Amino acid sequence: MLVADGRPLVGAGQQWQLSTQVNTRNLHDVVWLDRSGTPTNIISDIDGGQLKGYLEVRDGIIPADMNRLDTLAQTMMTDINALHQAGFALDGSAGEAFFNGLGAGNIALNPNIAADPDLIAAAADALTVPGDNRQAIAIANLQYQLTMNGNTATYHDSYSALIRDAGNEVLKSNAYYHHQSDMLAQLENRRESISGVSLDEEMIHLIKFQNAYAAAAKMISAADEMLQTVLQMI
Amino acid sequence: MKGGSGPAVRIPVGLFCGYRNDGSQKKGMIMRVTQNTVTQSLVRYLTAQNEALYDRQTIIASQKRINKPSDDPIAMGKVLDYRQTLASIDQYRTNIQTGMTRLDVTESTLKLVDDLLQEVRSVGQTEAGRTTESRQLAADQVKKLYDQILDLANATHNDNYMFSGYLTKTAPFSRDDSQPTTFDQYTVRYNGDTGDAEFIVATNSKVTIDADGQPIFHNAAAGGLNVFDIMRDLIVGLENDDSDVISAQTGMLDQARTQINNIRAANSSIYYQLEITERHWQNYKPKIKELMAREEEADITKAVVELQNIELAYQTTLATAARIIQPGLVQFLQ
Repeated sequence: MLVADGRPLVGAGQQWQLSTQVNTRNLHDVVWLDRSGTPTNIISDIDGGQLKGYLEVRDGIIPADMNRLDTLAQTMMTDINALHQAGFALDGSAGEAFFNGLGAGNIALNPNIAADPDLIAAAADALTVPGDNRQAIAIANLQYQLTMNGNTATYHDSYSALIRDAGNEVLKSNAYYHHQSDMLAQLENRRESISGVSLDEEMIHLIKFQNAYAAAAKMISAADEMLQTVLQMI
Repeated sequence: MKGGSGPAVRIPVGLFCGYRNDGSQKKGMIMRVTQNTVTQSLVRYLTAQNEALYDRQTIIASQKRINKPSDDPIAMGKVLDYRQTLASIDQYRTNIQTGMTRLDVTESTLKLVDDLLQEVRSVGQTEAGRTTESRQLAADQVKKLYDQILDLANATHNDNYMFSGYLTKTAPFSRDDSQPTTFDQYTVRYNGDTGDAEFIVATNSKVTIDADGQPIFHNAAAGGLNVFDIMRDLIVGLENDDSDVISAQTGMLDQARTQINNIRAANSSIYYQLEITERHWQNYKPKIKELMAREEEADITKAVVELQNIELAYQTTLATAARIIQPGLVQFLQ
């Protein structure tokens, strides 16, 4: 028996092992161990079945969606921080970065600002600090600007598209799943109709052969009786 | 399994394949049906019905047709857009309310200033026509009105000065009392800047309310009038018993009132604009809500009827299963 690109798993009197190994993303890869126990990563050689399905979701679809979410978070952070740092806080100091973090997983409000809301840089000029909200308006206006997908979509468009695409992916998979399982059921029924065992049929055959057997036995006992009669005549 | 629309139950193939509805076999199609075929098909059928039951239960419990993005990805996208629009509308309306309140307070302050100026003017007019000792008394009265108008020019709204531009924590007008020997040396200084109060009231659209106190009270530098200087000169004229000065300054007061009333007129047109925008959002919001409901809300009556249908089908299938699984030739021969 072979797995993944002709590697043996069970041979005459011998067996090899499959195992897992932690990869750089801290997830498990499937490895095949040769006779000396040296692992070979066979992820890329798995090209079907349930395992392939799991791997495609784990290594393809989910990271792609996570990347899109990261891009959204990073773009928002960059844009908002740039405007916020160009603004001035209530004490007249230049604005700090509004968000800290690297992506969607750890985007967070700058703890200094969280501790002291006076550090929100709403003013466009150090001299017009208390009542000036021009910088805040500029930040608010970012929501209408085409900042995403190569300047073709707003933040909201991009997020909405992500949700739509994820939904579509699930819908499509469901359709495929139902299609494939219908095909499977159809084939199973065909196989069953050819090689399956019908108890009714077997019972009929059983009775038939039982009767034939009884009839044959009857033949022998008739022959025996005739022979007895002949022998008694002697 | 998609909720809401589509067939009530996805019927798995296999159980009846090869047979017409009347039970006769299709030509050219030979199908042996074994116990395995029957049981496996029943399992598939019951699973599909359970799935359909679960879908209807979810719809009825949540009152929503779309419970996850995959239920209808296109509609889900629309629902997200509507939610965003509704959130924006709420923020716009809050901003409009803030702007209208500010304009209300500004208007009532300036109305009061105008009333007081009218009183000053009528004092000046009365005194210009006569030459009596009452002018000293009138001067004291105008001094009180002067102080009152100065206070109003320093009016606050939510602890912020309304007429000092961006410098909302700085009193806009202060009387220069550094070397006050006589009243005629008093000048009023403007400490604010030319900033505005801005509010976003619609997508990419903002309303600007003038917060600069100079064009209202202190506009001599820009070719307008300095309300405080006019009153100071009137007081000095009254104190010096100078009829020419009194009538000249009284005439100037009319122009000062025009200056203030022009600002009030400009503000009232902004107020009207805000009112129109507010009315627009007020009408728009229920329409968006209706559209959103049409996308995501469940037709409960339909879901309940469907649920009952599927329940009935499910029970019937169970009863059928119980009947056809048991008998076989084996039972009859015993």
